[in-house]
Amino acid sequence: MTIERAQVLNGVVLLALLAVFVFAMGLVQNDYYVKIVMLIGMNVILAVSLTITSGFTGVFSLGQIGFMAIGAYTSALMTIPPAAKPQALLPGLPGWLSNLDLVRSLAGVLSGAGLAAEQAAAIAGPLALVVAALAGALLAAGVAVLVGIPLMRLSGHYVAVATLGFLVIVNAIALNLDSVTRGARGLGSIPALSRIWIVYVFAAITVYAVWRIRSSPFGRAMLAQRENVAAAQAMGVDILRTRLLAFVVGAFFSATAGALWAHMVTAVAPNAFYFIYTVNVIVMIVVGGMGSVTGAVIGAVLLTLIPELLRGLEGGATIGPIKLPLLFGLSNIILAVGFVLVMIYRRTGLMGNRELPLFWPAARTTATPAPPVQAPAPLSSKEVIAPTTDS
Amino acid sequence: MAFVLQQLINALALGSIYALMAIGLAIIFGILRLINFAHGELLMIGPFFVLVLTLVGVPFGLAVPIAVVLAGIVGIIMERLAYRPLRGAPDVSLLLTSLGVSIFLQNITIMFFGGQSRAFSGPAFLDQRLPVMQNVGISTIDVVIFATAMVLVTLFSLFVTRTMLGISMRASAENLLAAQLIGINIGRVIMVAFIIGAGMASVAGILYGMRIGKIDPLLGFIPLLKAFVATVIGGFGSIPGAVLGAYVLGFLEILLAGSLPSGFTAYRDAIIFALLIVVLLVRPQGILGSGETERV
Amino acid sequence: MSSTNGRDGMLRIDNLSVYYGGIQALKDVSLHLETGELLAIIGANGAGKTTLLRTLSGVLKARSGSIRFEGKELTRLSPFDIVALGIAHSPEGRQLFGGLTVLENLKLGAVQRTDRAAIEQDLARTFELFPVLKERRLQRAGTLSGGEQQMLAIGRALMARPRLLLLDEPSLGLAPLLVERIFGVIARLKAERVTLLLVEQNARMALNVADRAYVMETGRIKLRGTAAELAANPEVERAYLGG
Repeated sequence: MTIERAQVLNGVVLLALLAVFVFAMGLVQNDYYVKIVMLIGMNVILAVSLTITSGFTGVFSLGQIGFMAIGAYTSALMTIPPAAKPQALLPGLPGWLSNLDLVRSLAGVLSGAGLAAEQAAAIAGPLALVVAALAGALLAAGVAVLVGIPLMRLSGHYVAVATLGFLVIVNAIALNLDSVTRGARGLGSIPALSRIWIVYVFAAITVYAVWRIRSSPFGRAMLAQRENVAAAQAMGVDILRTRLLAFVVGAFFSATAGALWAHMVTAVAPNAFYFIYTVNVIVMIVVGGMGSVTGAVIGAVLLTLIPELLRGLEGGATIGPIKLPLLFGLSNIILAVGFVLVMIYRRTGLMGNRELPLFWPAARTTATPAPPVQAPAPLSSKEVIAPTTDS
Repeated sequence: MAFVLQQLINALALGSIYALMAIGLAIIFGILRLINFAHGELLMIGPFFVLVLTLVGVPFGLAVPIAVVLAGIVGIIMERLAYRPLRGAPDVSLLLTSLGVSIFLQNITIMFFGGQSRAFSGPAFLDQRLPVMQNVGISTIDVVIFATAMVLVTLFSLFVTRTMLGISMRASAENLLAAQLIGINIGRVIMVAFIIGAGMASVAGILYGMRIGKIDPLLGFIPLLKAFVATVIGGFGSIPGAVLGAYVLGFLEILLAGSLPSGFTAYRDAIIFALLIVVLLVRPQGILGSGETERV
Repeated sequence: MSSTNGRDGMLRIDNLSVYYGGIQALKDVSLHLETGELLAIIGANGAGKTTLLRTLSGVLKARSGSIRFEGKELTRLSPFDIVALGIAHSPEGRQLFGGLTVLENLKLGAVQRTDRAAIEQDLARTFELFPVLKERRLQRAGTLSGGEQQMLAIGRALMARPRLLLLDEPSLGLAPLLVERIFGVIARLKAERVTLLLVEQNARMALNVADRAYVMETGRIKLRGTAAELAANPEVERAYLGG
């Protein structure tokens, strides 16, 4: 059995398991559990996106949630029925957008193409979500290109703060561009189009795409320049292009997660897409292992379920899976402490750089490239490795 | 003319708050290569400590120094528990850990005080205006802020140029390897850096809280980012640069507030961060910077 | 300044192995140094000489082996403690505090000392040894020329009044005239009975001034002997003396 065939078989088995899972979940009636399962899927998308944006390249972006917001708002504006977004309320919207009722339009197109009315209606929902999500994702990707070209040149600290600045800018726009976003009150009446199967299809596509990129020359380039920029450049890696690709791909998928989120919660507001969510996703990939797609998935699952369990400890009212982190602190405290402990004691997380070897040992994916061997460079003032016995 | 004077004082007051934050950030970054995201929380706990102390009956004038000392202790604990174990780790780890510490402190405060803002004010005389000129009154609070900052910055300056510990601190921020090789007690230097940083940040927080009249657990977030912008503008790695950048930023903000068409004033912060990005691209070493940057 | 343990000498390194950057930079290195002597370590770039000195000073950790200085084991100590024991280090590439003045740099060399009067004495002595530093004492160290910076680095290390002075590549990047001057200073220090461990790429100058020497290559000690012996050694001549 060649590696490729083993991988294909593994993929098929995983997909089959996923299908069974989704089908089983479809039988669950409890609205709360359904939302949790969907949230897990969305967090998987976000965690895997952050893995490619930051985990592989080592370039830490704190702005990811800004792209999620772009996806959420854009898709919401497309699918909210015109009655809920009149010009009076949102004067900033172009006429065609105010009048756009995506679900109904698509249903119309489908029946025009010959489908029966009920079928058309049934398909139009998910289709609208997909279309809206893609629109949001493309817009986010465009913004990512514009923002990424200048930012991806910068190194560690600068990039972190600059991307955080980007998040603040997006937040400021959402808060202040009332004519389009309704400011702090946000947008409501978003059709509840998200379904478990749709979310997991998106998640599967995201995981697959990032997995493929990781195994590709681009992926190797990303990992190489994380280890050592100079050496990677010497090997011919175009650092800027590599980082930019990682950034844009991450932005694209984060935006789809935003669209899915908006259509589950049926409302969007600026404070949902801010600092705390950013840190949540970071914790997911750190716990799971920053360089690992499998790790990201595991981290997302754990870090969606555990806070929910912890929230029960807070004794306050929880409104389903809709987080109100500003009001309840305990679960965040526990997470923050746990996160710091992970950073101190097991920085590589659960998986480190490794992926889960699937059923056949022969199907193990390519390992991280070993850093090129070089004579030890003279210690710069930044590289001191001091023992901790000084007082 | 009167308007200009008022805005000038405004800018100086704002710049002073940023300067007090930026110094702490700059030193800690210089020595540890750590952007301490939790520095914003060091600003926030200052006024909250004062609040608690005054609620139990401690007079304001006594509550402030106690609060500053408490903040310093929090700073030391922060360093020992969260950052010291990571000595020698890659910079990204430190940065991420500081995010964790930041969230922790924010939520501890939320747990005890709830998430909403609370009123905060100092002694009554601070709210009055000095009738300096006929039509313009200058807020006493702004003068106090500026004066406090000047005093603290001067004291700090003396400390880092006249005492061996202070000189050691500057040296450690310049070249940590050499500092170790000549036998500087790095552990002590770091502790002092955190004490000073926390102390200044908490003073900034108390002043800031009094100026805007209310405090909340997320008080420190935006000032932290602004302080960072200040250090970048002034020159990353340079302590005088941090102070300079802070005042430049203060003036810029007031300028923007004054000159933007009214529909856009809320975007002031967004514009400032866009400016940060521009500076990082065009002149990453800032005004006084030491060429610390790595570009690709 | 006499050694307390006659048999072991002042410094004794046994089977030292150090890893750096994922590579084994020092392989089973053993050497010893007597009080008052000038020991040179020569070898090409990358041979591990700097790694050796940095491990001595405690900024790098040894994987295995021992370093005993006047009877005390150094490998577990912090750089702070090692300086306290009397070992000062003039690093490769000077490693000065560029933004601080010459005077501040020198004073920092004495940072662990508390004997004010003696520190002033040593400052005066350093200025006498390096008059140009006195001239430029209020200038920022980063503005000095290469030769002046090297003098400052050595001066700073001397301000600790060390029992053992480590000199890492003092001639690196300097013009021949300056190299002569630096080695003149080294010779003078030797005459004043300062114990010196000198690491140098410039083998000729090093062997001229040293008592004994070791030759290092890719992390190992390859040759050892008195300076005269090594200078006469044909291998050494061919590889390091351009003979």
